[in-house]
Amino acid sequence: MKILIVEDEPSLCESIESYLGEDGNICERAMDYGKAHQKIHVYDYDCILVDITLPDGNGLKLIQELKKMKAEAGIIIISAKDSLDDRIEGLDMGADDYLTKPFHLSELNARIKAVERRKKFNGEKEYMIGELTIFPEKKEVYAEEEPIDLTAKEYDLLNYFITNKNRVLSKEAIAERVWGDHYDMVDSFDFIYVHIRNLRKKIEQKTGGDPIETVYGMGYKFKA
Amino acid sequence: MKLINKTQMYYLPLIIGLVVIWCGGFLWYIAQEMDQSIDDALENELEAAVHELQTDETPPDLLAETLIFSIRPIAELSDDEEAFKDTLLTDPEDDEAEPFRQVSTQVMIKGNPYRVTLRKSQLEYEDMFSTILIALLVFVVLLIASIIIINRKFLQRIWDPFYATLGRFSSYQVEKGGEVQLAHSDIEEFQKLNDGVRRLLARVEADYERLKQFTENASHEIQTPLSVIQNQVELLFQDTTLTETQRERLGAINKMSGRLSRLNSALLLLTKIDNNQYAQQDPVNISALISQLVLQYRDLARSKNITIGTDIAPDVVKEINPDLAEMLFRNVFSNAMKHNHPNGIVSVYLNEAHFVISNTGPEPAGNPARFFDRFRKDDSDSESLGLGLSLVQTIAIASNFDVNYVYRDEKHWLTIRFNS
Repeated sequence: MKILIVEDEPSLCESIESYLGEDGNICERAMDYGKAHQKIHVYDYDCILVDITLPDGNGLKLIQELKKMKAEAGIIIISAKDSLDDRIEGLDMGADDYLTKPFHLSELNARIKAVERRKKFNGEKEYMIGELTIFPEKKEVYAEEEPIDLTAKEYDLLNYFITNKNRVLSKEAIAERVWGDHYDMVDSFDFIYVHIRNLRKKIEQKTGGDPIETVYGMGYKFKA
Repeated sequence: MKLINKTQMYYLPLIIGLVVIWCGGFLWYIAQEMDQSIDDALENELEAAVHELQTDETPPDLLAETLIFSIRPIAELSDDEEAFKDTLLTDPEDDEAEPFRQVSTQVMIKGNPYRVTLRKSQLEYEDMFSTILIALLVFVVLLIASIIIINRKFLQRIWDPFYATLGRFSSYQVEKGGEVQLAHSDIEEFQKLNDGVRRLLARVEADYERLKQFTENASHEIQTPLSVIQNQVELLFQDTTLTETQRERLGAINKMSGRLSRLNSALLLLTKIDNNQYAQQDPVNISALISQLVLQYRDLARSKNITIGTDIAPDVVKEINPDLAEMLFRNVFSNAMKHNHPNGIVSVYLNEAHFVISNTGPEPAGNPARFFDRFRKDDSDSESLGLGLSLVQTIAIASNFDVNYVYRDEKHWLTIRFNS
């Protein structure tokens, strides 16, 4: 995928590039509104990450511009402002998703992939990973021909693991993904543990293997 | 004690005391005058009677003794002068003792010494005296009552601007802001007071505004560096060459930066609520919201083997900001889960008037009144941000709800009362 990162904080750009680049994505940076404006008119991107507050302009205007050009790119807003108005305004303008800083790279990755799937395959294409086949539109998972009966949370968790396969996911990132970014919920790590244990058990029952590895002190990793 | 009452408490006893002394003096004077006029009359009558006795033909021995007149022969004239005296005599007609004033003198009538005594009943004077006394009492009571009433009216009028200022002042809430209209007064002291209050409020508001701005700006500015830290750590996580100690250290950094980030968002949220950025209120179906949360939290409850019991009235609808409503109840549920023990119980109750959530759990240390303070923490739960209950309270205040917390029967009880 070709991704444009419109963000004025260089180290943030760098880490996003680095994380997304490992999956074979090509990332480009635009550190201000002017550069971004130039780039979107010259190149086609699959996905554009837009920070709303830019030194020389508002990221929302960029979205308007993209919509005017009828660009195909998926648009994800990344903003320090967790304001409902911004969120609604951005989504109304045609952004596909909205992510508040600080975010986990794994979460950003999952959102980008979700947007890509929605754009390209209308969310309908199944995909395979190891012995598992996932049908996103039905939220179903099959091991060979046999369905694995997962709860909604377990499916979400598995989906998150798969989009970030071979990456170490921190417990915090998983908790936030499954539980939502709610405050003061440190306790939910126990809860995460229970869900992962159940997920492992169900996959193991059908495939005989456990793709989820516990990384001591950090979190979990889905091996594929 | 109110200012008016306090003032009256000072001068009323003084006025009453003075009036009593004046009245006493007045009555004493009247009594003296009355006695004097009786004595003068008696003296005149005595003189006339003596003159008549000395010129009359009738021998004094034959004169009848009456209540008001007596003449008795005496052995000889003695030295004592005519003397006034109070006495009680019984009137044979109505058989009652009556007070009399009497005067007696010794006279020589036709060569014989006699003692002549004249008396006057004091009854009518006493009647008159008591009439005066009653009139005086009525006058005094009316006088004092008028003083009280007039004074109250005056004091009220004079202090009116003060009370107006006081009222505005005590109903003032810095977080609500808005201009405080102070009543105009032509009394210099009150003008000064109002000026002072205005200046003070302006300053408080400016400071409060600055503080809010600062918190919001600081929170925003913290977001970006926090993102960088978190993302860099996340990238480091992917490094397969890390030793176990390094991983553990990274895990700790990640955990803490996550916590800092949550703390920051919570603070930002609190500031935003204080800034009225969630002022938009819509009718929210609280019953549906709570049922949905119960469903979500059942998962979490299962992992701790906690039982959730519910008694939720259907279609309880309240005017509240929808986002705040969700945050409010989510925090309440989180609290009930977090401060619970394995195999515990959470009970949820909702009706039109209030929402009650109770949960088993250890008794909290410290003063319950301070549980809503920001960053209050008990030692047992150092993972907690200490903002949950504060957030609950801030949302409740912004939504015009009352929150109350008690620990009773080994359970935490949190009640939210809907005021509408």
